[in-house]
Amino acid sequence: MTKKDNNPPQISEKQRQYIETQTKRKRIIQMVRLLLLISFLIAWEMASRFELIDSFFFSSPTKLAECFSYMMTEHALFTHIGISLLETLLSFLFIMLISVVTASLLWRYEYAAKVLEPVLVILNSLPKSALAPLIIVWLGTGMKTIIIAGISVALFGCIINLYTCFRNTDPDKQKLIYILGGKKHHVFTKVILPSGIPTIISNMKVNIGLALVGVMIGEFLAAKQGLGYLIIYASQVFKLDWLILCILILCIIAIALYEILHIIERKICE
Amino acid sequence: MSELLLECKDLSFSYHTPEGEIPVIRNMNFEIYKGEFVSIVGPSGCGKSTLLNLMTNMLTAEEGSVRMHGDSEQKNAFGYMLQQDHLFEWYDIWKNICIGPQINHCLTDECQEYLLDLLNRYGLTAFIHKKPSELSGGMRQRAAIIRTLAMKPELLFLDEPFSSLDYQNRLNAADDIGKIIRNEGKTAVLVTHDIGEAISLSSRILVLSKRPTTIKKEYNIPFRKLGLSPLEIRNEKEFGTYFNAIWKELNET
Repeated sequence: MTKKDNNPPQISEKQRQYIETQTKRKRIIQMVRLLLLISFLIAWEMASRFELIDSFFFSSPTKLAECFSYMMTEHALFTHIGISLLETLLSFLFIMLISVVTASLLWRYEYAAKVLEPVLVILNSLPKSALAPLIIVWLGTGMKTIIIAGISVALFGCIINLYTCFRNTDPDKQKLIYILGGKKHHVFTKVILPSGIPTIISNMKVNIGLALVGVMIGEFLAAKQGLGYLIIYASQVFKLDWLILCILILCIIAIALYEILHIIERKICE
Repeated sequence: MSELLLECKDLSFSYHTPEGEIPVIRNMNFEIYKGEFVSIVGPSGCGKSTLLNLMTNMLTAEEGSVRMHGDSEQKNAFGYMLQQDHLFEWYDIWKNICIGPQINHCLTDECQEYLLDLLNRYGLTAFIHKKPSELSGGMRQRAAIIRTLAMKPELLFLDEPFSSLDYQNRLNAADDIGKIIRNEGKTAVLVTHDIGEAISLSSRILVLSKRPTTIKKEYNIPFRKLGLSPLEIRNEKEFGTYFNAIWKELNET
């Protein structure tokens, strides 16, 4: 490496000012967000302490912190979180795997796709929460049922989206592979799948949330562990601190999972 | 007379839709000889691209035949450049130009050397690991023709390959591609609606009629034999004469 390569790139004064303004703007946005959150927590705490709201129904940040500490030691909160996370991740993996394979097969076998299109549309428009009790009757309670409930929420929509994306891939790009002597599997591996990656990732971002919703539906009805089970239990015994805490934890899980996918997307795009 | 490479005999083709039959090509006859650069010009929608698809067996003729002769009967005897370069954004330039040999399991050391030589001769060596989006329009076209040449085809079909470029890039790209085809000693068939492009690149021009199309007139263009580049041909005195004659022919169709 030459000496010149080690020098930082020269930037003009105006460019430096522009970068500084942009960085400052980002920092301000983050500060305002943090400020809003802190203001909300303070307002909530004050409202509860001065009895503007009923802390039995609406809880308060300090009560939630106490509840969190108590549940961690006495009710194995992390086990419940872990189980819900595991079920969500398994549902999500199955959703993506089954969707990519099915959409690929539908793209490969056009006649099958034409025949199955109305079935997919019907299954996708069906309210999945209505299916959950049926799944419980068929498979009993337990993790398997919950994972299937999680899968059922997002699977059919994802298959339709991916199949539509595969089908709409630029026909000239596909033609090019045939011209170069390729077969249908070459078209799939060299054009359809790589050009479908942005759609697959955007579906992953949607489906991680939907998998969590499906798992919650499953846990409401057929679980003895997990955050969904805790929510139902807490609502039945009027432990509203527990309930609100579980909802907050669900929010954090949803944000974390989305951010992980966002990071993966950025890495792939790079 | 040069060696006959491709022969279209009594060629007819119609598209069939639920709304009815659309006759596109009617009773067309022509030949392509080795070393020629033949341009096919015609009014919009007359069936120029359909004709290319028939010549490359992407479509099957309803009547008549398309016959490849001699070496051009072999597999991958022809290359095809589409209306856009269609370089795959998910691959770098090297992977893009290697697609053909890779698919056909012939990406040998010799083939790689040939491709590296092409990249070097046409000024793309420095961009070998760049993504297509990092290249200019003209460079992308050069990369696309190297991808087409990777399989060492005898005959090249060019389906309005410069239509997606702006005017300046279009002139430069046409000049580059014309030189590359001549240097590599390839035979080419160009479909275009740009009369100037056709005259500057071709040794022969086929003017098509409206749909259902047939060959209305044929022009032998002398400039290519003089060894002039496509840009130089545009400055020739007779360029305008040919341009006006073909323009008139097209407007009469």
